[in-house]
Amino acid sequence: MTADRDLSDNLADRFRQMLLIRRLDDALLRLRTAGEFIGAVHPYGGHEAIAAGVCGALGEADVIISYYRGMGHAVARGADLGRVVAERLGRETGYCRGRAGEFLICRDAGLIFTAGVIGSGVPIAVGAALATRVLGGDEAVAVFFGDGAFGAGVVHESMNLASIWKLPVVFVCENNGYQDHTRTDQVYPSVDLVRYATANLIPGVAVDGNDVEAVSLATTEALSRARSGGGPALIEAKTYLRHFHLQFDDPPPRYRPAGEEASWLARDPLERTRRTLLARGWTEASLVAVEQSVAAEVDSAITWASSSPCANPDDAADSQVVLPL
Amino acid sequence: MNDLSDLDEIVFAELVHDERAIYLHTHPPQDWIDSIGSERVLTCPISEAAMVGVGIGAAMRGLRPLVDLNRASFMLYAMDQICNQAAKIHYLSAGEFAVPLTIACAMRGDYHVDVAREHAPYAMFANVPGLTVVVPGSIMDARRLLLASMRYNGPVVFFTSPLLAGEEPAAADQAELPLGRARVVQAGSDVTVVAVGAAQLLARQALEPLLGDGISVELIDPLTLSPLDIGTIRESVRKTRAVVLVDEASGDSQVIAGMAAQLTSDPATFARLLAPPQFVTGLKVPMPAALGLERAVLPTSAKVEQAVREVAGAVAGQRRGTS
Repeated sequence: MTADRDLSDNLADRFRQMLLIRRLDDALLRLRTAGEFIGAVHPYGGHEAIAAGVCGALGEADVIISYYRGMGHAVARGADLGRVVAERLGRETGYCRGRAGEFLICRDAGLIFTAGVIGSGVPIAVGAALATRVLGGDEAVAVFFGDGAFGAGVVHESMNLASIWKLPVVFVCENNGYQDHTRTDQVYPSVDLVRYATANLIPGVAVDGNDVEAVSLATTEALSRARSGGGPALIEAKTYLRHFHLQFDDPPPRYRPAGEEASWLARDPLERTRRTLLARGWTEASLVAVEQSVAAEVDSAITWASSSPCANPDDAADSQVVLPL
Repeated sequence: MNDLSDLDEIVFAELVHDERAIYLHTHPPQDWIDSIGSERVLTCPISEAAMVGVGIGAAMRGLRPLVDLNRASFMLYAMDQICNQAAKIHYLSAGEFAVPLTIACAMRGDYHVDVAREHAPYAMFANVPGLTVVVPGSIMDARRLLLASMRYNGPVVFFTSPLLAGEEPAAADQAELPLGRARVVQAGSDVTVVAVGAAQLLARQALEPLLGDGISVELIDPLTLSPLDIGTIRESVRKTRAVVLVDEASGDSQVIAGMAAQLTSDPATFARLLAPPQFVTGLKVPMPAALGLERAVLPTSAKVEQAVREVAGAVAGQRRGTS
């Protein structure tokens, strides 16, 4: 097999997306530590198989809603890397001209909203799916949130509404076992989160969130049911953050047991996908070529974004962003 | 809607007129469901935050939702969706997404529903950039502004009071009234009175006795509290040279305190004022249950009259002194 033919394969495409996310995630943390931009960075590393698996199963017209780790979802949906980085760096060329920062909205990639408040994107996803119903399309909506979101009442309200109206929504819970720095098993009676779907008569499935093919398969099944009027589904994708919940000026101190971190890092979704590809006949050389190409793509996006003009302070309230009466 | 059948008529007509319009309520009229369909007239559980969030998502994808939350106090359940999300999306997306969403609720009626439900929280919403806050003081303006709200491209928080319903016959005029513009309800020459929402009723009751005493009031209804049409109010105050601001909410609420600040910080208006702006407001306490206490907390027409007489007297003295 040639490298070109390798890359046309679905899993190889997912591998490439996951690499892009990983490489960009690490780069953003470095840039933040170096003081190249302000605000919080909620890294996505470790969760890559979820973004790539879900977005890889979505159709072109489908819509996604993210939460503050939205960079991964934007990239998995094919958002322009340069404009993603530029948004983070507060540049005029960013997707939201420096207004949104981490809370990306990338219309051309179908990412219509990124929630900064836990759970707040979930009812918006249900409304986006309601529009599909009323306007007569067949687009579905996938909404991503963490395990901490089940602490928010509005998430349960939203699942109830999606269930009674049988709307085409796929609820994707990226369960990394922590909410902020608190272990989820300390604050929930059980870490089985599918039970929240069961309570609303929504089909729910727990999958290995580090297995991109398992995530993709679960999404395909959920979408198929949703598009044929079967209503919403919950996918609980169990995973783990490589680094930490959040960084401001400097990386935070460790807060998770070293043994737990080591056992999850041994299940790294990228390493796992790489091994699968090798087992299926891809050559080491072809994968190295992908890795080099991804590295060049990320470097080029950062170079382009860094050389873009900063958002213009004179436009802070211009007519593009402030709706006239 | 909200015990106001005059507004129901407007909402139903708009649902017929615009297929993108949808209505979310915990108990929508059955005849609306029958004629419009249950996909656009949505019967909801008591989930205020999710109802507003659904309205946001639907609006971003091309629908024009009206989310009716019944009573103003219930809106506070949906503060995150209204203030953190609906208000900001147009700006944060650099104009890529509009949120044409109207969130409606009623404030107190004449049935005294006590501490948990009597509430005039429009000031806190008026503090949020990105929200249009409408508090009309007559049923006719409420009809026309509700229509304008449902056709506007941004999020509108619409407060009305069942007290308005009996105030005047509903006009046949169903044209939209532009958002963001105040109405000069009555022209006058001696004192400007600006009254918010149902406080218009108190102010209007005071007009006749004041005129009997030779005091000519220019009465203004701001209609939209944010963005506020301060230009119309300033123009009136520069003419009359005195102003009384009336609100059922407490006097240090953003709404009328903000009006006073915008009058006195404007050099041309400040230079014309012969007396400081006067407030007639509710007391800063939760609404009590007992009728006597409720009456003590809310402003009255007599208090409006008294404030206008006092300021008119003071101003008359100064006018003589400066003439």
